[in-house]
Amino acid sequence: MPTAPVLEVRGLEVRWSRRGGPVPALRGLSFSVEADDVFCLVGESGSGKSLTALTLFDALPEGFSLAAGSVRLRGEEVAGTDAGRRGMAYVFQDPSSALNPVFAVGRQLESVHRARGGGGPSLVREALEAVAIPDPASRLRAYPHEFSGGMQQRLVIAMALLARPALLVADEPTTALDPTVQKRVLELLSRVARERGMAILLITHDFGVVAAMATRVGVLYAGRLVECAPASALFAEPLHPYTRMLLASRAEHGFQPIPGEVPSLLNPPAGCPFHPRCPHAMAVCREEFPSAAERPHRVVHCHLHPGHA
Amino acid sequence: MLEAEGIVKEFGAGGRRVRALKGVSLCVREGESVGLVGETGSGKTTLAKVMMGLIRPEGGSVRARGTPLESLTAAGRRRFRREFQMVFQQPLASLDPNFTVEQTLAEPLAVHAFPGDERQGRIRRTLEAVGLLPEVLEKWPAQLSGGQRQRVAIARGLILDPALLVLDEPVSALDLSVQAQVLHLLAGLRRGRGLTYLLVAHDMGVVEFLCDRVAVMYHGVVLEEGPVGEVWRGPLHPYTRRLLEARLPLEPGRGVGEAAAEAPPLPVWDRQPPLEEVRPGHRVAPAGP
Repeated sequence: MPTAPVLEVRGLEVRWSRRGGPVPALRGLSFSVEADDVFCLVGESGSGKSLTALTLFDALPEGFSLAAGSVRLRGEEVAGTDAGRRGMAYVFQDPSSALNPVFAVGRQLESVHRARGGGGPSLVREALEAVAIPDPASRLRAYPHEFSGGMQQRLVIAMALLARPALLVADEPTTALDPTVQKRVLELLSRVARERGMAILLITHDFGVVAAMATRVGVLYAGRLVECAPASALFAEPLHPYTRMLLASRAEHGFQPIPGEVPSLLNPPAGCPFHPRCPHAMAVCREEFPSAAERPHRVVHCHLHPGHA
Repeated sequence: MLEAEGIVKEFGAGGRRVRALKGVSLCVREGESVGLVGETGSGKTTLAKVMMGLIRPEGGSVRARGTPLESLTAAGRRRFRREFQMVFQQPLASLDPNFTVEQTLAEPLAVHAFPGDERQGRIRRTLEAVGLLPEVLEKWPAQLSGGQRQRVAIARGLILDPALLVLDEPVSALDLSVQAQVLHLLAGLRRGRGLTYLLVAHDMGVVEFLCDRVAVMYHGVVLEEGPVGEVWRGPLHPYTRRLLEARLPLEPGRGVGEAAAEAPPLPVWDRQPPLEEVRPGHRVAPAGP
């Protein structure tokens, strides 16, 4: 019997309740992350990429609620339950928000370690060594502000590693960092994942980061997962027009512009949410969201690629 | 056209003074587009603000069309404020939330005492130039999309018909699928109006697209400057090389590139070193102090 994926998300629906009635924020999201995956969720503002991560941790912001769907961690259902999320850890975009400014970092790491039921300080030092913080013993007495942005993000990753997670969820972990520092932190993440057999769900808007890190990629647009594929296939042959146009709008392809703007959560276009900006839009695109076309290892929701139904 | 020479700028007080600019010089000639790149703390935005007269330096001088800013007459200063405009990075923060788009665009015209009957026409023309429809005039910044806001910020920069525009990270706050539109808008405006640009950016692709020349800054000094294509394809300074190596190309399966990952930080200069001209217009600092 094949083992269950580290993370399996099926039919995730999140709703935003506001004056004037509820609006859908995530619509029918399905994807899975295997043990050796670095799964990248790519999207623009309002696409729902951070919301997806918050849903996994049962930490939706005020007004947002899970309406349907299943989240399985190593086969066990956790959506809508009080079940602990043991085995999953989170790294935010802004490291300074994850560190308490008034405590020495050693004390913060120890308290996380103890909360995880660990004994002795050995795990903390090991975690600091894993993230290549030089001279960890003396740095444990320092306060967060004494670390650079890149070093703070390493501390946050070290803190996440104390949970010995099977899955690390990292939301734009390097977006706030300078390019040379970003590269070091990404290198660190992929090394740690490799060494510990840890899967990563990496949320980003940067296709450069995707190319460097991803084994698989999910492309989000207006709360929908429009395409999901192995990284090599996605870059070689993007099937969804949105994916194709996003890649073409990068410097490497001469910044080819995409007309229009990202739709607002409040009034998403009917049918396929990309149709107002899509050069291939047909009548049907304005009316119904395309069902999934399943190819080997990949899925696309586009009327240009009809499903097998 | 706009020239900074030996600029020294310090922040903080007492024993905790930080030297943000350490004797930097930069020259922007009429009609060209110069990119200023560097990482956090390199001083690139500070230098741009000093050159716009928004921050007074402790040392060195800025000359606009040959005249030092501090010796401009009242009339000269007004002319400088009209001809040299800055578009800031965060359109939501730089647009007044209590001004409609129309008020935002009318304000500089009132400040510079444009005749009332000229104002409407100028606002319409500028709006059209940045690709916005007249119906946005009634809207508040919060009602606009990110791309529209950035277009309004650019329109405000253009409304007085400036000769030079300083653009501070003009697309980094925009959605990915909207960045290319705004870059093409900026390239077209420059061609159509013969504008001179000073662009502050961290994205080297953006600089290559919009600029003729680039200056690379690191901890308050310029380490290399020259024609963009030449510097990007044949970087001479180790720091420029490192910046270029930190780019993540759109090719999957290459990984992050581990060799350069743990390279030690480069030495920091305590004053601007002399630049050596290696090829015409391509100048570089020594590798280290």
